[in-house]
Amino acid sequence: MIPMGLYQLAFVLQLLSLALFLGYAAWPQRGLALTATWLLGFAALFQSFFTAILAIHSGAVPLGTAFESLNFWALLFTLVTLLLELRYHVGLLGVFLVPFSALLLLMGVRFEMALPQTPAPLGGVFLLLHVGMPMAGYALFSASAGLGMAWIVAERQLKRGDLSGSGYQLPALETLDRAAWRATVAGVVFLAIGLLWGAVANHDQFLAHIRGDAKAVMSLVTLLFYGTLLSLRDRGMRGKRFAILLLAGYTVLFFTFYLVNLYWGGHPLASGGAG
Amino acid sequence: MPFLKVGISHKTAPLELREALALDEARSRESARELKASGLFRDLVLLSTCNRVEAYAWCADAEKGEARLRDWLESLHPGKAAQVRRSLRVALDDEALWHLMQVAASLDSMVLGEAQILGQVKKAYKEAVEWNTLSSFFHGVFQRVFSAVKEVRSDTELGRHPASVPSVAVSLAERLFGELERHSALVVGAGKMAELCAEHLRSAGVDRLVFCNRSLVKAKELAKRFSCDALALEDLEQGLVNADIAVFSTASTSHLMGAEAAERVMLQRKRRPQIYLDIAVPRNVDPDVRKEEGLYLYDMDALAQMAEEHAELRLESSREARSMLRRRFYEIREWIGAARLGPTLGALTQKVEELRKAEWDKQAPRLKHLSPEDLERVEYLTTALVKKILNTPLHRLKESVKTGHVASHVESLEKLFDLKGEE
Repeated sequence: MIPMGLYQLAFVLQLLSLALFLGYAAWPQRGLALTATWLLGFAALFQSFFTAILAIHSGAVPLGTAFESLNFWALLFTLVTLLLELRYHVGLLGVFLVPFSALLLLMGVRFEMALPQTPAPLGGVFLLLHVGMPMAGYALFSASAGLGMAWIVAERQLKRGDLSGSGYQLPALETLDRAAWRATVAGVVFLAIGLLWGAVANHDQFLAHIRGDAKAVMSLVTLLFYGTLLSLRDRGMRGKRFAILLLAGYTVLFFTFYLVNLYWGGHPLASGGAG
Repeated sequence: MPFLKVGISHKTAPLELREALALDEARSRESARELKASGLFRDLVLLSTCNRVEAYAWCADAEKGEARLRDWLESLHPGKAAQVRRSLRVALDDEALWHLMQVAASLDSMVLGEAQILGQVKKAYKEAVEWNTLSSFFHGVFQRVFSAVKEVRSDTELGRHPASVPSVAVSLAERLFGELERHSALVVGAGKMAELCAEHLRSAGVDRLVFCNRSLVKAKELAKRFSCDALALEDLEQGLVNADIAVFSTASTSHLMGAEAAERVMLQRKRRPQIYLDIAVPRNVDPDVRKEEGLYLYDMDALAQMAEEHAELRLESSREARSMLRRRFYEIREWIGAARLGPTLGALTQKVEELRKAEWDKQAPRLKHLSPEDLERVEYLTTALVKKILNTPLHRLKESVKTGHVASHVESLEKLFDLKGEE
């Protein structure tokens, strides 16, 4: 039985942090944004402790179950959010990013209750590369979606000529666009490495059984989607369309991850059903 | 030692007078050297902007210091000495500090909350450091003032509302691109407004500036002033392909840019975002270009309305900024009080100790009948007595730092104990 106290505490802290970020958007007092960032930092800290406990508990890299991989995704995403907040000092990116990480934690609670928590019998290095890398990619896709949403809001404010509202605290449109693009590029690279590693390590099973593995199929579809997105961007698709597609991509990614693990049979290629 | 400010500003002097007194760096350095050489000032900072010429000084004697600074200001333009005399204002101690803080925070500026003044005050301070006209006292004061102003600007909305059409235009471009250093701008037109916008864009860091005008000669004239390129109006479209920011300010009665041309430009730019600032009346850009994705168009009405709204917002934020600055003022005043009290307390203690020592030296030969232990005890008694007598006044003096009465107490002490010569 996994001790879920720290995980739940991290979730509550994320919700509090989100409330303060929203408060800052409505009433821009710097103290609110700082407190929200600190709370998010503490959430990440508690979640890190929780992840360490998971590792000690299972005696392996905590990426062996769907819940563990989701926990890793959420933790990395929170860290990316904190990095972005520290980089831009805007106090408002949290409004767009924290809802995604809170949702991931919430999905984790559902996974923990509904899925078997028997880790896949796989080596640590393999798990890090085949599961850890795609989860890092997912965390970056989540960040790019949050940045895309921030871009849409910031653009509306720019079009209205609203330089005085809360949107003024957001980074410039080009900065948001560039950050979202970089996050997507890095996400694609991480995901590709993870998938490639899995395919190479299990090449004998991979081609034979891939059609029966919803997880593998959806991961390939995700890679294809984001790869196409980057190619379109290279041909001049940017701004609002790029932001909307990032949001759409993330929404699909989120729900397919949920559906694949709970209803579509998970990842039979990994005997333990790892994410 | 009093903290003194003498100077003129846009509130007391007309533009012609401010122009006549404005100091360039060489003149400023020369003035600082001369004033410092007078021996009246321990610290001196000279601030010269288009809206003010002011001297901030820490001097031994306020009256002499003020007279010297008055003479100096009048000497900057002897022909206008009488006008200078009428226009200059003097502030002492708390009033001088509060004035400096308001100036640096742009609460005393012509355009409330404008950002340049803080940089100008910092520049004046750096020059004073370079010219060696500062002691640790002014270092402490100015650093604390800068920190207070930084806090006010980051925690209030004061500096966040650009309040003139060109500054609104630049802010919009910054909202789109962030830092403008690596961006290019095309200014279409060669009139006053075009020039003003070009100045704002340049000071915001725009790397590459190009002027485009029907008369290429005029465009080249402006380009020469700004050390940049010029284009003829026929090459407008090509110029726009390479420009992230375009300012339109010509007297043309028809649109220079239509939707189709804008589409061609955007395609050639691979849809990299672009901002059009149409400050011409009648408009130079067809409003339909707004349909182009990634192209942001603002006309004169929109820009003027934003500037007007922002001016009101700045006024509102200035109240909050002033009250925040006031809190920091009390802290700095307390620090100044402690800094000023230190030398006076030292001088007073030293003076009293010298008196005690002199009296002891005088009386000691008459106490030869006492044993060495008793002699030591008596001397200890004199020391303890002096300390006891000074204890309460010194305590009260230290307390006066918080109430802001330290200056008058220091002055009284210096007079009562004749401490000026001790400094």
